[in-house]
Amino acid sequence: MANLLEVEYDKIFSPNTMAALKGKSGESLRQMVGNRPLMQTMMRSKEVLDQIIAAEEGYRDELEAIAIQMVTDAYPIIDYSNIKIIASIGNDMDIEMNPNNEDPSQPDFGEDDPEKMKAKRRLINGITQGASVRGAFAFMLFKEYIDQINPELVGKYSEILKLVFGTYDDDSAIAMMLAAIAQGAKMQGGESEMEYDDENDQFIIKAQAMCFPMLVHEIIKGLYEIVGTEGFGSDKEKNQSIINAVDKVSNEPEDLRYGKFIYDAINDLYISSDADDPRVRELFFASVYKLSDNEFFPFVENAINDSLTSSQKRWAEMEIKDITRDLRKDDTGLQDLD
Amino acid sequence: MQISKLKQTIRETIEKVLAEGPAVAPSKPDTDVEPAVYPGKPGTDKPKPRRPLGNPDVKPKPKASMNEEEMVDKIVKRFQSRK
Repeated sequence: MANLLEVEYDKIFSPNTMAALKGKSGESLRQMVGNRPLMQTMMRSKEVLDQIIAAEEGYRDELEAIAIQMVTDAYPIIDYSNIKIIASIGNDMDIEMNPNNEDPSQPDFGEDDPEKMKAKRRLINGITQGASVRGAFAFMLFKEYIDQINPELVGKYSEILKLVFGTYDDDSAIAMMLAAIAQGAKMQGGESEMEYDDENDQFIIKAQAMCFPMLVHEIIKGLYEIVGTEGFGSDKEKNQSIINAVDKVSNEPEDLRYGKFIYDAINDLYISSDADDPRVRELFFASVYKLSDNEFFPFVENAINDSLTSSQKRWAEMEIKDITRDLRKDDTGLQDLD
Repeated sequence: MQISKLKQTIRETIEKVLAEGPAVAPSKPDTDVEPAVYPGKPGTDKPKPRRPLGNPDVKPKPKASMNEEEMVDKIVKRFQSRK
């Protein structure tokens, strides 16, 4: 029987890669919160959050609609994949944290290595968090609309995102968060989940948050959660066993810390390609997730270190071209292009 | 300044401040508001996409973001207890 132990980033990556990730994290901390002490950062973030909640009072319906519009515009993969979104500012939705979907019995993993499956899931979780951090700043695209509600909001949105996400680059803050989680602190600032509707053959993103920019962050997280399912096979028992071992609240602070740089590394391959269709980005991430263990880990690690081999670069280029070609065929509806 | 005039000035100032906004902490978002729903865009007359996204055989756990207020409360309490 496989013993599903914790999988930490420093067990997955080489010391050099960890040093690179920590270096990027330190740089991010300086950019996001400057030299402000942790206590001051947290007090300020509470202050700004309260101001935002007060300013959004009376406009939540509009802001929920803008959040959905914004994400569907920025991520056209949502329409391509017919994904439904349910989004709410507040806590009126029934998203059950740590749902009781534990399966006490350990499945037979056969030839699959559960430790590698867990490590892969951990990295995919990190990328999911990273994508949602990077995407949350897209609210600037809707600055004109938000200015009409309150011209100070955009500045406050930018500040709260920098303060909140910058906190995850702070060793002391992460230690504090882990201690709080260990003491049973609830995680209700914002949350998201995805589910599959068998009847309508459709994925659904459910997201809720305390304020608009965090709602955008949560919707994108839900989208990348759907992308992340591509890292699994078809054995539901194995999948659930890995999820139960890895998808833990206590893993999230470090996923947020390092995930954004792993996301950046793979996203850069899409950005530097000739593809000009943003749907390619999420489908390329899905292709990376589908790589075998022996291909996946070196690909991700080399991408982080900007040291992809020539064959890895060639694979990425070809995959992006194939995805672009498939999307073009779907758009034109020309079946005989196959 | 006469006392009556001073009282009037104070009264006017208080009314002005109250009219500008609540002096109390902002309320938490309503709990009785319906969430916004985007139904998706089914391509009814189109075949399945060549690149379907997502694996229906996976049910991830919900992901949360840390509640800043609770964290701050805990940190403030710890900070104050050390004074």
